[in-house]
Amino acid sequence: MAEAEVIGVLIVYFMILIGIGWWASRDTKSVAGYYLADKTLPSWVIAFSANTTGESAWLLLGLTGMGYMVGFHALWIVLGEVLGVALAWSVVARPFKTLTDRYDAITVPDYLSDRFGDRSHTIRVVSAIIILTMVGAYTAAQLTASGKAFSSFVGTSYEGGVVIGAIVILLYTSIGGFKAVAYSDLVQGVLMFASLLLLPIVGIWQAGGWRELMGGIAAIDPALLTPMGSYGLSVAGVASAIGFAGIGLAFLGAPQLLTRFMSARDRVQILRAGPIAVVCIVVFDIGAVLTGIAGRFLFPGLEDPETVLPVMSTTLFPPVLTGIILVVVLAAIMSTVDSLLILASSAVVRDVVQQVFKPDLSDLKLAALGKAVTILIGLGGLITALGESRTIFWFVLFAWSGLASAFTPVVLCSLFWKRTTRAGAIWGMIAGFITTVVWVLIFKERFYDLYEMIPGFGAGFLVTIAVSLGTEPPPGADADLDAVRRVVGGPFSPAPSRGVDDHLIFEGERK
Amino acid sequence: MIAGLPFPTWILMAAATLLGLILVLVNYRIHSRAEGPDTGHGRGQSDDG
Repeated sequence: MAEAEVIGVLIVYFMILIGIGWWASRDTKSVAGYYLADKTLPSWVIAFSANTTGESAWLLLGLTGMGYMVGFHALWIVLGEVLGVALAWSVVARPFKTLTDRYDAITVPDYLSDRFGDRSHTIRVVSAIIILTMVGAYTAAQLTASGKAFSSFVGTSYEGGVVIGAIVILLYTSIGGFKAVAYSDLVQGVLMFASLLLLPIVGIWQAGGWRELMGGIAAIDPALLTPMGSYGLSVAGVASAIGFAGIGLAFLGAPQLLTRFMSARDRVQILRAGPIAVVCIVVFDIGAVLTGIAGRFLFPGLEDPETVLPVMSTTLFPPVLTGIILVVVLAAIMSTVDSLLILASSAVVRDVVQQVFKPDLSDLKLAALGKAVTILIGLGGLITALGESRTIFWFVLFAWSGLASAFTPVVLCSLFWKRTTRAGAIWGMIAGFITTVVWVLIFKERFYDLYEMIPGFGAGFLVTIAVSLGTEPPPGADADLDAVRRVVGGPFSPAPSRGVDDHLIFEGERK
Repeated sequence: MIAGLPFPTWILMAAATLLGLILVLVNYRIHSRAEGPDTGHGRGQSDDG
């Protein structure tokens, strides 16, 4: 590999990211500016930012590896993710945006505290603990991927790769805040989109065409071509398919994705972003699975299936394109880590420091504190990643599940069930989070390796509903949810109050 | 088998590709008029500011 060309591409890419950070830095002088870009983002930015935050090194290294290992059975992941993204944008996003604007919320715990009238700050503290724990694990896994990517593409040491990745992310994230994160996500998303369109096309072409590829895969193992894979139609096969499809549930309410809805300029942007996000995720996921399948035919017998993408790119492409594909892997890593750092920083600064301990601290000081906390949390992930090299695929999915199981059931109940209570929300979050951890540690192996998101979600919903039924909902919740229905309509029915100002509808329902 | 792939795999691939797109496009069609910028609706502000 011509290292000079690869390093040249890398330097250009890093300069672009730091440039975006510097450009966005003028809008980071307030808490709302640093953590939510003052709610000014357009449709393309929020659509790509949500998808690249959701998809990480897991997409490029993990999902291609899964396509390599299980063939078309991995399409269950695509089905789950595409439906998750589509439902998030068409059902969740507009009501959520309306309510968070109504409450003037900047973070997801902000929204939950206002929605349930939580004066004791319990929701904020529980949220902050869950977010910090899972973001720590998630960030460490992504920085591990950075170390692996640098060492396999450029030949640096693993530790060197972890440190370079961390420094670049911390620079542009701490300087430019959420705005820098979202716009760099757009750049990174376009790169990922183009690569995952190109890679399977080149792979199929190199195999001699679609029919030749399918024939070759059938010769390796005919089960790779079937929806249930080598499991067949068995309990283990169904559990695997449900677990794969369940990965997409997180798009409905993981806090790092919900903040994209909050940051939209208005609901029109959300409406426009939905189709963009779905086309983007279809290309991301189908592209990754087909790349893995083509890789299985072209490079059979790889010791580590997660290396199929680096192997394909270094073998099939000239050095400059190899450099660009390394940049794409780094883009996937960075677009996730930057969002997680901002999420964790907001949980500490906005939800704990500002709301619990120092409500009178100036906006400027809080924004500066936010930058310092972003760096501190990033350094924590860096130290963890330097300590141990992990398997990326399952570690990322564990953190993905922990965040989603804690927040999604509660957020969905808060949006669509008037009877949800503060106690129900708190215990639902705790139950979803703890079930994820306990399932992985004790039960997963005994239940056909069923993915922890499924029991985590089940527990989150069950406990939220059961505890809510035994406690009293907050006053005014009925009126607020009725107002939301009048403002945004149902998922497939138009708003009954078209053209009327949101504030008037909310005030009318309150009376 | 169609083009080397079993029929159920094509069904799964079509579902994975098309269901989500149909969902967001139907949603867009239903709500785009009410949320259109010409109404000033959806911005959380009244027309007179």
